[in-house]
Amino acid sequence: MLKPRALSDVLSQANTGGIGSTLLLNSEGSLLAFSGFGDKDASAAGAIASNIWTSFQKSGQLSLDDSKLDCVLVECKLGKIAITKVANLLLCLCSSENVSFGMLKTKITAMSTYLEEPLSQIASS
Amino acid sequence: MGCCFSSEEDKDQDVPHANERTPLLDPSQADHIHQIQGGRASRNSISQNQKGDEQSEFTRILRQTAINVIDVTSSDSQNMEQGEMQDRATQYSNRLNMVLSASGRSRVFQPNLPTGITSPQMTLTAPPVSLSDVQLISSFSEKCSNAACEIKIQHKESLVVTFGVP
Amino acid sequence: MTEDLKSYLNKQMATVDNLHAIAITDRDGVVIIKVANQMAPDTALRQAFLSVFGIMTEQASKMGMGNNSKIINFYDRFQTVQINAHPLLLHFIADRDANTGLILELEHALADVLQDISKVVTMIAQVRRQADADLFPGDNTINHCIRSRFIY
Repeated sequence: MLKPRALSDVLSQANTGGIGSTLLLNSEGSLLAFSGFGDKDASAAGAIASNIWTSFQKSGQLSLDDSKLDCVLVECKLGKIAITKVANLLLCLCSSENVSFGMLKTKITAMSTYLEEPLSQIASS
Repeated sequence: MGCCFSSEEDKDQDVPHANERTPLLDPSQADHIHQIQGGRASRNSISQNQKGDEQSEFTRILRQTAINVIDVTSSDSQNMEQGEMQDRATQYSNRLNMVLSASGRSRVFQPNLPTGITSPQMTLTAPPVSLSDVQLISSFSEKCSNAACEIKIQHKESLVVTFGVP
Repeated sequence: MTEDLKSYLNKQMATVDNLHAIAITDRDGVVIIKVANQMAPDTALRQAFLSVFGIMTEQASKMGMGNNSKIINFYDRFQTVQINAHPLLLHFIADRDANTGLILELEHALADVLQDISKVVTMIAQVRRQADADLFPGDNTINHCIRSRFIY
């Protein structure tokens, strides 16, 4: 079993320097864990993020020589989002528009490396 | 809360917050003004304007709804028919030729100068960047890249609790 | 004329190491112009693949963060940088380890090109809208709304 408090503590470590929230979603896009400032509608954004991931994953498999999707970076007018897969879940970092892509990607990679082992342990049990 | 007149006990009433009600009212304000002016002019124009208003309101609501709908199933069904696509591609290539020759950009496209360079001759005649500056930049970029590698999660406690299964 | 444009795009493509293809399409992913070297997978320059970004940029605009401008995907061997330059979509396909920042900078180098091409798209969209209006004269509202996502 996952310790909810420890998990949200880990997720909150990313929320510095302009990153507003960190989300953990299941493959259908439902919110499993959330840590962040403000309570903007994270569940809707999460559902869309998961749909974006699934669509690009499928199209990459079909059209980019069976490539596996590692990381998606989305830039909108008022913010940026990074999405990656950890075990069978999706990790999603939402930030303000002035955070650079490089920092966003570095942080999400660090987070997914850390979570990979415990989350796959849960997934397989 | 759902009623327009329940605002007496609504403590948010002074805050012009944007909720689902605001966009419904705002854009139609112009129409209302129009309607009032029309009413002064003649009675006929009122009913005409009202009809026009209804129609435009209907169009607006329909369009807004179409915009707001998040259609997550559409990604597979959106593929166009081959024929239509070919048609459009041919149309584009024909028009592209037309526009390119008409735009007077018959000259070869030129890449823009990097931003911040107004007079190239000044930049080109300036003395080259000193070696120490180059070293400074490369040492800083190396430090940055090292720092980026150091970014990791601080481990505090184990995330997984295992039950005491024998 | 188109050849000049292609050679310009090729030149721009060569300025970034391991960038394999540049494509400019309309919102439905129909290719208006594209250049590619032999490293780019053929299937990645077809409408089926390019149209996905058109739909996803629309969806990403509904996340409550304003309009979507870019989506960058890292696959295990490739990366795609896709930019929403209304009314056009700009697609770059590169190796995974290509410099993403340099690719993003190319958008500025292509500003003139995009301006010219967006004229083409607007013109044809107008023609098509006119044709629709002639086809269904009485039913403008609904017709317009239903078709609007395909036209714009």
